[in-house]
Amino acid sequence: MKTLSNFYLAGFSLVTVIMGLLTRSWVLLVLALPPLSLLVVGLNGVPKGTLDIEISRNLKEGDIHEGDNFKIKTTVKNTGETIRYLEILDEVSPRMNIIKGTNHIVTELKAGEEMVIEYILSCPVRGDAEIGPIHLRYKDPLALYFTEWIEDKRAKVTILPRIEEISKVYIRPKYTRNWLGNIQSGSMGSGTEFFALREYLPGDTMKRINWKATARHMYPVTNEFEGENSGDVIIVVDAERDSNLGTVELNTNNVSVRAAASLASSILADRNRVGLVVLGDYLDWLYPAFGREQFHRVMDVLARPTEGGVWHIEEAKWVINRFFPRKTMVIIISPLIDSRIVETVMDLWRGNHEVMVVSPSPVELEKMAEGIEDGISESILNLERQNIIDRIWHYAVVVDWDPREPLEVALEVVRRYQMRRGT
Amino acid sequence: MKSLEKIPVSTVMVGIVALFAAVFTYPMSAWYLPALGGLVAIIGVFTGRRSLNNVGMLFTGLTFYVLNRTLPFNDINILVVLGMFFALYSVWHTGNREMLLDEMNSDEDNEILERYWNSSNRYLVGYMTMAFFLSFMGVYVARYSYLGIELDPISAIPVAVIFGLLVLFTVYIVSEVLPRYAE
Repeated sequence: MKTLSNFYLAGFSLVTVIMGLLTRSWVLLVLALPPLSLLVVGLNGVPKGTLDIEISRNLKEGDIHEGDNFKIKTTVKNTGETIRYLEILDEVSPRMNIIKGTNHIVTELKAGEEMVIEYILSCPVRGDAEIGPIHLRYKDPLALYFTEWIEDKRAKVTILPRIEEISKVYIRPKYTRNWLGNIQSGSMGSGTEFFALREYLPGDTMKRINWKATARHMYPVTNEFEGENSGDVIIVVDAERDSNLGTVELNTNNVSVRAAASLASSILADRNRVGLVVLGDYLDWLYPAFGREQFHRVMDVLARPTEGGVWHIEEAKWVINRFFPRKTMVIIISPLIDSRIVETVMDLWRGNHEVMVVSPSPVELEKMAEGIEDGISESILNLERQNIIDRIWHYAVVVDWDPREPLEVALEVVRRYQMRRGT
Repeated sequence: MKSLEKIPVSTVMVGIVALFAAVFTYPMSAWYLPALGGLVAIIGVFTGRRSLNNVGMLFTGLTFYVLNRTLPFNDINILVVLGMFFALYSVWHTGNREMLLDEMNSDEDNEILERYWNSSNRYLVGYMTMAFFLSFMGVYVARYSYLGIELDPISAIPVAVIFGLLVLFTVYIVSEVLPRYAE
């Protein structure tokens, strides 16, 4: 294909001939020759119809979380003749930013030569992002002719929510199931903590015999241990559109999703079952399950971008009552802007669920995002929110979280609550 | 990009060409116009605005040729007229390439772009030289190809130019197109 320069040169030549004839000037007539000779010489570099190159792209393996940087390595090998001018553009999703290197390059590739293009991407927002296709353009050195190709090499990257390590606070459901876990059940079982002594029975292992007690009682005595069970935790993410405050990168929805991911990771690590309800663009839910596989399922749901949906927290109540087991711990992550949440918490509590509310403060987020402090409106919003928190405290433990601080610091209130409750 | 900081070099090239155009035009009236076009192009290259570079170089060329349209027809003037075209084209092309590389480059030292810069300079010089000799040959063939046909001065020049173009076309066919069929 011809570039615009090609037509400009031909047009310039024609105009100078006409102008030269009109003004009877040899200067203008002679000027018709250089553009034509450039066009003739340029024909020498006309690109071929096909391009003999091999392209491969390497991506970092493993999970990619919000805020992570990762390197893309694209290898271009010329298996044909020398390419004098090759422009390469590796398309990158607008969800990612290039922080080092470039995805757009122009180069000369000799026959058989291999070239590596490296650049580092940062992922500020979670969700699915695509890298590719690769656009190739071959021009002659005078940029008079060009040919374009699109190499359909695409790579899909799922950017998972960032996970904060929660190591000092253990979220323990009050109601436990008969599966092994880390929560002391208050009854005999196959745990590690000492519970009681009893008379030796045939079949007891030798290592369970308490020798000191045996010597004292003059008959064999065996140790009994406290059973350690696990419970069910359902995490509810309130991503209602009206409650979403902040910027694209830093808003209540994103912060809530990060908190949900961190809590799910910590609770699953404690061998509990975790279920999930996300009130986002769609009503997504996962039935409680154990283990790494469930963790990946949770992360997959949380990675979906949420602009904020129309689902209200009452819908979560319906899902929990209809599809989830009874006597579970329900953790609601909500900015607590809508006062209707109080009723939902109350209903869940009445339905024998243990409820906990983690609330990322929208006031602090707004201040972080906008960098301004508005005394009156801030005070009113704080008062309204505090009122909701006070009402919820009758039925559930409330974690009022300033997102500028680590979640673990805010969760200290849970530890104090558990100590008071004696669990 | 340390090694690719060639914007000052390009602006110096534009400055030299525009200054030569102005000096050559002096003492005609409005002799400073080509220099003014050069200044606009320099600003364009510095600020990375291609449109300014394009307009500036076009203005320099147009004013130079229009102001010098009555030059006497001799060897030196033919060289100047042809040479100025290729000089302006090369400088404009170099400025645009620099701006393109500047947009692409983000690293301190980008070997790939550096290599492209060097190879494209080499090709540009080669192509410009070849095109210059082709034009030069075309003009001289036209000039000395007096066929003995008596023509009035008005039609003699176009006939000469058309004849020159025909010769150029024949040279191209012989040197470029026919060898492809020989393979």
